[in-house]
Amino acid sequence: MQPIAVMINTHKTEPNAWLMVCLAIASGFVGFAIVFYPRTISVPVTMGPYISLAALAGMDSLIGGIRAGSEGKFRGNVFVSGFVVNTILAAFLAYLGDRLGQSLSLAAVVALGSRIFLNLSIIRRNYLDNSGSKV
Amino acid sequence: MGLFMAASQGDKTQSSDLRTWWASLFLLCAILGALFGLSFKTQETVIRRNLPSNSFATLAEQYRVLKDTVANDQRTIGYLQENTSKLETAGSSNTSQFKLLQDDLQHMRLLAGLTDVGGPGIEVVLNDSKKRFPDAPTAIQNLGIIHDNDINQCVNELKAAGAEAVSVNDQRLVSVSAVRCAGNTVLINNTPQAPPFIVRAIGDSSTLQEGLNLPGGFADGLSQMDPAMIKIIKSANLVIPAYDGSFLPRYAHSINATDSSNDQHTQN
Repeated sequence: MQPIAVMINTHKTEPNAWLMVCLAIASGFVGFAIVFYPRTISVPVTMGPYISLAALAGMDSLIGGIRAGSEGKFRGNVFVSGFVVNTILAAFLAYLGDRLGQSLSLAAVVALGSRIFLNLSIIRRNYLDNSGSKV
Repeated sequence: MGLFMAASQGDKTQSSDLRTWWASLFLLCAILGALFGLSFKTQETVIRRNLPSNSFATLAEQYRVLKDTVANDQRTIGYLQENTSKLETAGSSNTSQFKLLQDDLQHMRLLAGLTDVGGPGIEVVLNDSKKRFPDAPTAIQNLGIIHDNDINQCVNELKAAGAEAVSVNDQRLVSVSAVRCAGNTVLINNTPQAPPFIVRAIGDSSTLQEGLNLPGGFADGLSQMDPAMIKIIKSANLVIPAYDGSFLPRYAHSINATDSSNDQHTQN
């Protein structure tokens, strides 16, 4: 039923699951291209760190969602709200830190970075466990 | 990707929910991509701005200078050729009048800085400090380095004290001269110069020296950083070279000229 779980557990994949994954990745690239290539779109250099942090938080949410999916605990509203709130919060935290003279961005980078690593390792383990039982 | 599950949790009875979830996933992915795009772009800008100044900025500046020089030279050549032919046709019709005009011209050339001049004056040697200032806040890391500001201030003080001719590193300062930083060098009359900067000024040498040594003045400020940065030498006989660049006014023209061609002569 759940594409990832399905893909992992049985090899019976929903026909359009992979297509959707590809489309999701493609939409990521489209978003990238829309912003990256036009010369008119630019952000003040001082805002750079905040946006980088927001991107990192977004990546963390996405990977967290994949992890939840691989454990079968995924909830869409948690995922979406997490993505939005974490992204804004990370950027805001970094901004606040700069205002306060404390590098709160460091805290965000450490927390997000370690979570990304942790989630990736859990996803890997779940995948290996499931495929291992097949082999 | 987790969304697949969410979507299918709602199950097939609610395929509109499914579609909503997919749409939101795509949207989030697009937003994430856009965020990455923005930060990539910003970082690129940061990297480009941090390029070493001696490569990009200086090259660009040099290119501009050379282009200007070529254009100026071409106009000078044209002007000189025209002048020569005029003189040839005019001939020496009236020698005494010619003499008068020539004296006048010589005087004007002296004023404009187009002749070598000699006389008493002072020589100021400005050099970067060898001292390091590790305690200085990062905002003024440039402490101990001679900047265009320092040279301008020095020249200004000298002129205020009555200097009649000033040169920096043998570049005569005239009405169109500029002193400004370009990368690691200082451009004087559009030629790059490096420290030590030798400022020569012709005038009353003790007045000039006092002008620089005013308490709280120019020399004071530099000496506080490092006394070795400024050296003032009085000289009885200095030679200051003529301005060797070319300048033909492209936009300025004299207003009350009864004889505008003569004005042009003096300006050149």
